Amino acid sequence: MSLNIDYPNPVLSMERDDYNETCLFEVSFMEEDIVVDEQNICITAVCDLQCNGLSKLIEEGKAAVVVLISSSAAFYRRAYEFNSGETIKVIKIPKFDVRRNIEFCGYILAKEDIDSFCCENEFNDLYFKNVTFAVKKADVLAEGQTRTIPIDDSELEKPISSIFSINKNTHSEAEIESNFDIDEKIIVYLSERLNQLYYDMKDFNNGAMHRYLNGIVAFPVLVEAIAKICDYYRGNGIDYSEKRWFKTIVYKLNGINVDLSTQYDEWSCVELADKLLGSITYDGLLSVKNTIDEEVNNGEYVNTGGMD
Amino acid sequence: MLLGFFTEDAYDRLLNAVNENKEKYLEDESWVANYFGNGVEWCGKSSQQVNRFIPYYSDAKDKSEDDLINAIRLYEAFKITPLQATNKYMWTYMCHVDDDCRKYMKYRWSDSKPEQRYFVPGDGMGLYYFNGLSRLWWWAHLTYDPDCKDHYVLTRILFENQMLGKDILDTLNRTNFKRMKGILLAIQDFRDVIDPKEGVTTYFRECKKELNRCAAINMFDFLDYEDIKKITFDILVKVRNQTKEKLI
Repeated sequence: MSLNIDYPNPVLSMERDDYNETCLFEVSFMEEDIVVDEQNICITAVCDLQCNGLSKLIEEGKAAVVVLISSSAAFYRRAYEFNSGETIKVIKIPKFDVRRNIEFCGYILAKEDIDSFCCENEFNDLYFKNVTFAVKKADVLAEGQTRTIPIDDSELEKPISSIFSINKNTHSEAEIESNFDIDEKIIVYLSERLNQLYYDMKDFNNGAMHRYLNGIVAFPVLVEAIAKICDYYRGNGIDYSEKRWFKTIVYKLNGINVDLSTQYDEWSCVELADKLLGSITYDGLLSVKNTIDEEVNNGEYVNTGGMD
Repeated sequence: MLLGFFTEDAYDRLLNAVNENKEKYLEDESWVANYFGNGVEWCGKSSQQVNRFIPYYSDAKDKSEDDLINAIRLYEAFKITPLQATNKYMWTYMCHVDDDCRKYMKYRWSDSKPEQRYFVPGDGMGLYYFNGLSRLWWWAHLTYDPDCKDHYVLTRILFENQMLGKDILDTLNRTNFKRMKGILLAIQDFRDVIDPKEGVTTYFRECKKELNRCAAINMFDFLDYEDIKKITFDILVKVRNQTKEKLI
C-alpha cells in the first residue's frame, strides 16, 4: 500500500493519482491456478501495464517488472523479475522456505540510475507538469496491490502418524478402538495393558521403535479411516471432509497419485494404508527376520514352535 | 535420530507450569517424561532424521565464540528446512528432552527465564533471538553463504557482537540473504577503518534508521549485495562523521 509512503518520484498505482487515469499497472494471478509440486509453489503472474513511458523504459532495459514475495513467518523475502517483454511469468517459490502466508505484490523498479525520469503526457499535470526526476537503481516507479495467499503447511513437516492421538481406554474393555468424530485427529484408545506397553516402548533407543509401534497401532485404524473416506465419496458414509485427519490422508494420497474422490473402488484400503506408512508391512517383517537371524547367529534361538 | 516435538497441549501445559517447575530446569536428569506420566500423549516423533548436536563448552565469560561454534555445529547437525525450523514445538521439545540439547541449555541459560529460552515466545523474535537452540540455527541459516569457500564467514561477523547481531536481525534484512551479506560485509569493512576502541553498535543503530528510510522507497531486495554493502558503508561513515562533529 503506497498511499502513506512519500516517494520522491511519481509512482503509477491504483491508489495514487501521480499519473493520468489512462495509465494502469497491476500484476495479478488466479488463486485456482496456483500449483504446488514437489518442491515449489508455482504462481502464474500476469502483468498488465498501460503506460507508454514505463513500457519504453522496460523495453530499453532501464526498468523491470518485479514481483515481491514475502513470508514473514519464515523470514523469507525475494524479488522475482520479469524478463523484458514478458507479460506472464511462472513464479516458483520453494515451498519449504515459506510458512502460513505469502504476500504477493507487483512493482516496476528502475534497473539503473536514471537522471531525467519522465513519462511525457502521462504524469498528472496538476503536480508534475514539465518536471523530471532523478531516480536510483531499485527505486519504485509503479506499485500494484498486495495480495495475501494462505498456505496450508500443516502437514509439510510431519509424518502421517501425526493425525493419530493415542489414549488410554477408560470407557470400555476393548483392547483397541477408534473414534473419528470427536476431534480433528483420529483418537485411538488402547486398553491399559496395551497403553502401558506402547508408552514403555515409544521412546526406547531414541524412538527407534516408534515406526513399528505406529505400524501396529495406527495401521488398522488407518485402514478403517481410508474405508470411511471411500464411503464418503461413494455417497454412503458420514461427511468427515472438514476433519484434519480426512484432509491429511487425502492430501498424502494425492501425493502418491491416488485420488480417492474418483478412484474409491480401484484401490484396496490395506494397500493404501501400507503405502502411506512407508511399506510398514515389509519393514516390520524384515525387522523381525533380522532379529531372528541375529539370535540364530548368536546361538540364542530356541525352536519352540508357535500357535496357529 | 528423529526430531521430536511436543504436542500443542503439552507445550501449553509446560509453559503455564514454568514457575512450578523452575527448579527442575536446574536438574541434571531429564524430568519431562515423569512430569506428564503415562497414558498422556505429550510428544511425537517426526520423520525427519538429524544428526546429534554435540555442543562445545568453555569457561569463557563472553559466550560469543561458543555461540558461534555451537551455531555452526547445530546447523551442520540439523539439516532441516526453514519451514521445519519455524516449528516451536520441535525446538521446545529438543530443549527439554534431548539429552545433548538439554545439557547445553542448562549450561548456557541457567541464569535466564526458562519461558524465554526453553520456549519460543511470540513467533519471529522468539525463534531468532530468544529460544536457546533455534537462535543458533537461524543465525547460521540466515548467514550461510553457499558461494563462499568458508560458508560461515558472514556468521562469524554476526556473532562478533551479539547486541549488534540482534540489531541487524531486528530488521527486514534478516529476510533476504543479499541484504544480510551486504550489511555484514559493510560492517566488516567499517571495522577495518575505525579505531578498534570505537564500537560499531551505536553507529549501526543510527545507520539502521537511515537504511529503513531508504528501503521504504528503494527496493533493497532487488539490489545486489555489493550495492547494499556500499549504501550501508556510506551511511556508517556519514553517521560516524556526524557523531564526531557533534563532539567537537
